[in-house]
Amino acid sequence: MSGNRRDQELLYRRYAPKLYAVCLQYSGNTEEARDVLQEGYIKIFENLSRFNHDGSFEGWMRKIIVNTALERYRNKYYLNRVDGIDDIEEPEAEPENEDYAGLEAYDLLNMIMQLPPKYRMVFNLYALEGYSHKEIGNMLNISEGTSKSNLSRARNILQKRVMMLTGVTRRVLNV
Amino acid sequence: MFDREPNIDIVFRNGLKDFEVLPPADVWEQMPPVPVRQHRYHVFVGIAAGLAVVFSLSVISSYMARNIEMAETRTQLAALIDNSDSPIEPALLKSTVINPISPLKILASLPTEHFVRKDETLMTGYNTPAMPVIADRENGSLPETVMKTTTLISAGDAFIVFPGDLYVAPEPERHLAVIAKKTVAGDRFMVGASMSPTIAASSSGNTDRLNELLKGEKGLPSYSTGLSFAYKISSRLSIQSGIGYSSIGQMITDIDVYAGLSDYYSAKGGALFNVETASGTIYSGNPDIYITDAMNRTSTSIPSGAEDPSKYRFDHLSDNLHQVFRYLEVPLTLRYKVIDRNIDLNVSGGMAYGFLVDNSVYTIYDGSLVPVGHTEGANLHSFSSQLGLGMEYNLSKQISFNIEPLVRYYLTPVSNSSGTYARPLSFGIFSGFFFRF
Repeated sequence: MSGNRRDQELLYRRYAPKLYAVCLQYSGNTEEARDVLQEGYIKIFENLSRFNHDGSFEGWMRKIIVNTALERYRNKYYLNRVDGIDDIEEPEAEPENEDYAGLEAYDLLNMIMQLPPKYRMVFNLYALEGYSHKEIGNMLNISEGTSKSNLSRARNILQKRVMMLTGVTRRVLNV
Repeated sequence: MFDREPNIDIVFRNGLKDFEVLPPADVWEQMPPVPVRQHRYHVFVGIAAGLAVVFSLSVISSYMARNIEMAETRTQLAALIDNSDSPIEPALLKSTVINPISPLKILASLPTEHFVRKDETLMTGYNTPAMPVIADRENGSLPETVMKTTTLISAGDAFIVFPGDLYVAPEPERHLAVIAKKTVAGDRFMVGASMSPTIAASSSGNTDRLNELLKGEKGLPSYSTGLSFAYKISSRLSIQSGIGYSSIGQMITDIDVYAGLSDYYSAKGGALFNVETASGTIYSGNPDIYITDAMNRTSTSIPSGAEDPSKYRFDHLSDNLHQVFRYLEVPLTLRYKVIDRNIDLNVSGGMAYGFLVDNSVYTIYDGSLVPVGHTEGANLHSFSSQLGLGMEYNLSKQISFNIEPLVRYYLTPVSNSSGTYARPLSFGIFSGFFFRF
């Protein structure tokens, strides 16, 4: 790909919607998300020649966007331990055969965006990106214990919101 | 990864996969233009281009310097010619090249009144830059062969007969100064660069399974390129070697390649897919690649219960695989000049040793290479023989252009695995520039 503006715009138009959704997941609000998107794309264009075809191109761009988001929030938010390792709260037991039908992607995104930043970061990196707690600890400068506890809290909050949302839906349907 | 994962994680992962949100319209407009940083590869290409320019300029300046020296030498010779009565044959100035490196060396001086009877035997056998034979104009009717092969200088009433590599300039006292031309061995060394596109000859295998596999493969355009140096053993025979880089390969067709498997299945190591080919088994080491095959060549190590492709969303990359082998080669070739004119006709024959430096399998998606894996059992060493018949055109005294169709026969198979196909023959056109010194 050449460095001219038109080619860069084509690349932007093609992948920006998917990457903007990733930015929203990590940012929590649209203003921050657009800054992450812009900064991330600048890094993508500057480092295009470094893409060595080891994996998909979209995956490579996504990693740059995620790293950009992490860089912005690493110093902005203090992602400290919530509790001691021994005090990690286990998630509530999930009902068997729970049907989460009716949950739109927008609902899921909104729930993540409403999480406190420290929980949102860990949940995104663990559940959506597939990093281990050790890797998350290195990326966010927190301990593994803090990562585990933040994840546990994030899951609790999300589960309750999901159940609230789907519970309201079932009550409406039963009327 | 799939066994004990909380449901909430899966809900969000699956729900947000491929989710898109249109960004605000002004994000792009407010983004500044970004120059793409050049990869270091471009730096190396730039250095190589610079070296090529420097080399070309040095060749051109060396050629020009030699011409200037030759002109100066001729000027010096012309300055030695006095206003004597006997005109000096212009052959002196336009005869064969005087080696500008050797100084003008006066071997002997003969007063013109000293004559030596013509001795035909002596003249025809005369081939060393020593004393000339002076033939009396009246007594000598020089043999036709002598007249054609020697330089004749008219000096007074006599002809001075010299072998072709002697030049004479008279001194003001009408003495003859015999100037020896340093015998030049000739430009025996050559260096050059060459390029040869090749294509493998199609043929059939020796088993039904091989023939079946070959139906699903097409040869990829191959090439070899390199630097050569040659030594001229005689005026017609030369020996050539060098270092080269060659690439051969085939396209595996009727096979679908997808990306996205790593979202659903984590490989614990090793290849997830094996594809049987005529040149060996391809092992797919890329954990994101999923392969389906219409010709029953593919097997997988993914447990049958773990994957249900109908539920998963993969990105279709292409319907073929490229299987490529690249070698670093050292050839050894003898070249014989059958016709030696302005355009020479050469016959060449030789062998080459190749060391496998790249064994890769990839597919192409949207103009980009996506690595898939490698071919198991590829032979690290290859030996081949080749035969060619070509032409050499002299662009100048130092530079020539060669073009030579050739046939190459591989003495070793591409793969050590049994049941594979050797592809013994390939055809190519060798072309390159050589510089003599």
